[in-house]
Amino acid sequence: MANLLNLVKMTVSELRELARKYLGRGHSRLKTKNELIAALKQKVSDSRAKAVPAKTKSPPKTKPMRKKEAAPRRSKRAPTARAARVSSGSPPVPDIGALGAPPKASTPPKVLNEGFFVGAQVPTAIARPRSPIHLAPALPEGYGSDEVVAIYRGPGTLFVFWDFGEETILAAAQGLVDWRLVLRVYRGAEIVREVAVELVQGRAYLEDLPNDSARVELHAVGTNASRRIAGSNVPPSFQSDKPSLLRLADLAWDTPLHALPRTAKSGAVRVREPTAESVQAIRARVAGAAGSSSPLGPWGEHGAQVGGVAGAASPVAPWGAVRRRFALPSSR
Amino acid sequence: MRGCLALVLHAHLPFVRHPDQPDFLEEDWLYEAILETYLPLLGMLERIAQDRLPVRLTLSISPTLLAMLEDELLMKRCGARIDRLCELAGKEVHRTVSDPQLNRLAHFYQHSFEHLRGEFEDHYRRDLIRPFAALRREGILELITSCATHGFLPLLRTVPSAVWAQLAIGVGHFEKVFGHSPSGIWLPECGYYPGLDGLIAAAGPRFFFVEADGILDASPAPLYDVHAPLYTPTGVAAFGRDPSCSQEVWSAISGFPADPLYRDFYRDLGWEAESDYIRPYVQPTGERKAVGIKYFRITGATDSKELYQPEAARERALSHAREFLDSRERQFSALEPAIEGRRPLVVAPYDAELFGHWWYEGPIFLEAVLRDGSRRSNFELQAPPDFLRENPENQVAELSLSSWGEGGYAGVWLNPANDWIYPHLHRCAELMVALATDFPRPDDLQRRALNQAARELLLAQASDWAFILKTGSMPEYAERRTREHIDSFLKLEQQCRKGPIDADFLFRTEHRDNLFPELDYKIYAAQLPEALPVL
Repeated sequence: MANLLNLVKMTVSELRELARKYLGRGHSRLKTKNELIAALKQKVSDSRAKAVPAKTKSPPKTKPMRKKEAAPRRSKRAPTARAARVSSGSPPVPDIGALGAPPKASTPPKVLNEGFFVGAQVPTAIARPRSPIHLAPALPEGYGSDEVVAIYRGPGTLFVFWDFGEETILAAAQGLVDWRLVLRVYRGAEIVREVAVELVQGRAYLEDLPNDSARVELHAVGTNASRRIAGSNVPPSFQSDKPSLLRLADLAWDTPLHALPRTAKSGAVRVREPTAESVQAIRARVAGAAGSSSPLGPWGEHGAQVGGVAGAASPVAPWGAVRRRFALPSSR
Repeated sequence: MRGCLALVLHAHLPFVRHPDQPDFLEEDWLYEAILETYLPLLGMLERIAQDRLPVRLTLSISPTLLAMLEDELLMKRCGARIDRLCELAGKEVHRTVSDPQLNRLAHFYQHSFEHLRGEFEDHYRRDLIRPFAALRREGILELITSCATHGFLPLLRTVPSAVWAQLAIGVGHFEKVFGHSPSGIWLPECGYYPGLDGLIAAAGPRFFFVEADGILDASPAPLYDVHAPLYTPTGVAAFGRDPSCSQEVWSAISGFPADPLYRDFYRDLGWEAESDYIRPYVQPTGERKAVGIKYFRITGATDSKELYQPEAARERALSHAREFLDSRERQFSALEPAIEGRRPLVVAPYDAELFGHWWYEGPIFLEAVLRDGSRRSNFELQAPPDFLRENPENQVAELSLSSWGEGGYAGVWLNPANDWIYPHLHRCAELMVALATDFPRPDDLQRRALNQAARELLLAQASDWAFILKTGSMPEYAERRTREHIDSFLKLEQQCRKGPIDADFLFRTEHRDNLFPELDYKIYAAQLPEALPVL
């Protein structure tokens, strides 16, 4: 769909055509140009998460990161008071009228599954709490701060949002023919992703990216040239890419952390590097005994094994290459 | 070597306070948590202290929860809530007189509420902070803090001063309330990102907790899995959650709280009684809500629920406690030879509100775990500082991004249901930093407006709103709160910049969002005191 600037430049009949195409039923109720633009903007907003990848100039050379499997980890925490809450008097549970009669369970709240945990799924029939609240205030659609911000949401996925005044965009696009806005993701000097976006869209998720993307830039790209509008450094993603040695440090609890630099400088903090052999031996033992690779652990009721040596039941290699959720940089 | 079992409870509720309305639905979150979790927890810990059992429990109390527990209005309303419950329970005793089974349950609730009223009003005199502090002095509790308003730090990092403010204000408020520094900090949602340790170290806490993945994905890989803490390069210790302890409690299939004998959370008298009868105890509009009297047990995968039997449920909770501890014994037996020369560690953190509020029998389970756990031969119940004192040598590693949310990263707090929040939070944080920098010498009214702007920003950053928007359980309220705080912040920012400051608006906002009276907005202008890596 055209971006906001193009919408403003369009005639009403052109906008009607767009509305027919993108809004479908109900578009004929939109009478004025402003109504048409507002509805189309809303449509763009609604589809903001579906940024359509444009032609990728330089495909990522690294393999996309493996996404973490969803199961079997518990979904965060118990539903606490702050989350699910049954309230308000929506319909379904009839009164238990008769004095002394136990409440009838004939039409209980429909709990989809059983038990505390799934009780978090508030029965849909009764669940929507309604406080006597007034409408929440409207917030600015943008602040005109002229910036792009990018942050990793998880492995391979960047969340990018941008906020530009129309003047900034028009100035950047001056002289460009048939231009459009694109986000470019860089790793070093290399473009690893280019995605067409709309100004009013405001935010997008870019997926299957390398985990060491360095920056994201917004460009106005025309058929005759392209121009950089703004860029943002991407904060480091998941873990340090600095190779580090296995070290053990001895820190006295009584030494406050703010004194640590001085203590370390004086040599009072003991740091040692265990031998490769001892590391291997420890990892082999721990791999068989630790439970992180299996929720039940080797001590579980169905007890595959109890004790020391890494066994066939353990998916962990004997040298203890602990499972990772994503690939490490090749430098490590 | 005997193992170390570190039980950790994280007590947190978002700041909900509506002084302008006499009865506000979402304030019930606090009252329910006080009645069902915090009072039973205190009673249980005091009994354990009296018996001088050698146990240690780590409890984080979030600054927003502390602020609400300090609030006279909310505590007064909580007292009124307990009074109404006692009244309703008395009516239930009469109403159910012809049904012995139900009547016995009504008596059970009447006794329980009367007991809780005595505890709240007479024993604690509406002050729940002092007994927690006393239990810390007794040596039972290790009290730690959390971030100011429970902001999910990995998503606030685009403005580092916002992260620093969350940490430093959280630590500062704890110090103001308890009179000493917190030894550790609970990172909201266990959210960690590489480099955060520098700010934590500068704020003062010596340890924090992460999801197991944060440890397992560390660089270099951990020697002892999650069974030893890791020092970050700035010297702060990270403790990883043990997956098996989580699984035993949280599993939808095999978790303890799903047992058919336990009380059903949703079958509540507030939904089931005659509307005229229950009307004085639900919302002022007559709309229903849960009142806390629940007559049924989970029973099974059926709509036909059986009556709750407190004694049978109690027995089951005791049996589950034994099962939990037996499992830990087997776990430590397996770990001990593997981690030779060191004390194996198992960290079991939970939301405090699980015990009592969601899992009604949870406090019974917990007390049994602490009592029976104090007698087990191959492990002790300890807190992280105890472990670090006795085991000062630990591996140094850089931790990865992680949280305890579904998927393990930031997906719960950043997804299409709630992502509209973040451009606002980012921009408002930038504006706050600019305000703090540009107003080094404000007059009194400006200072109040600047401080209140900081409060509004902090409240908008609470991870709870994004979480609720994602779960869809109460999205209207979460959206309203987010919008209101951002709107109030923007108004105050504009008034500070362009004047005049609307004193009435400022007063109303201060009156409503009155947490952290000690807050100084200049924290946003301060140069980040990030600790440098030394290890």
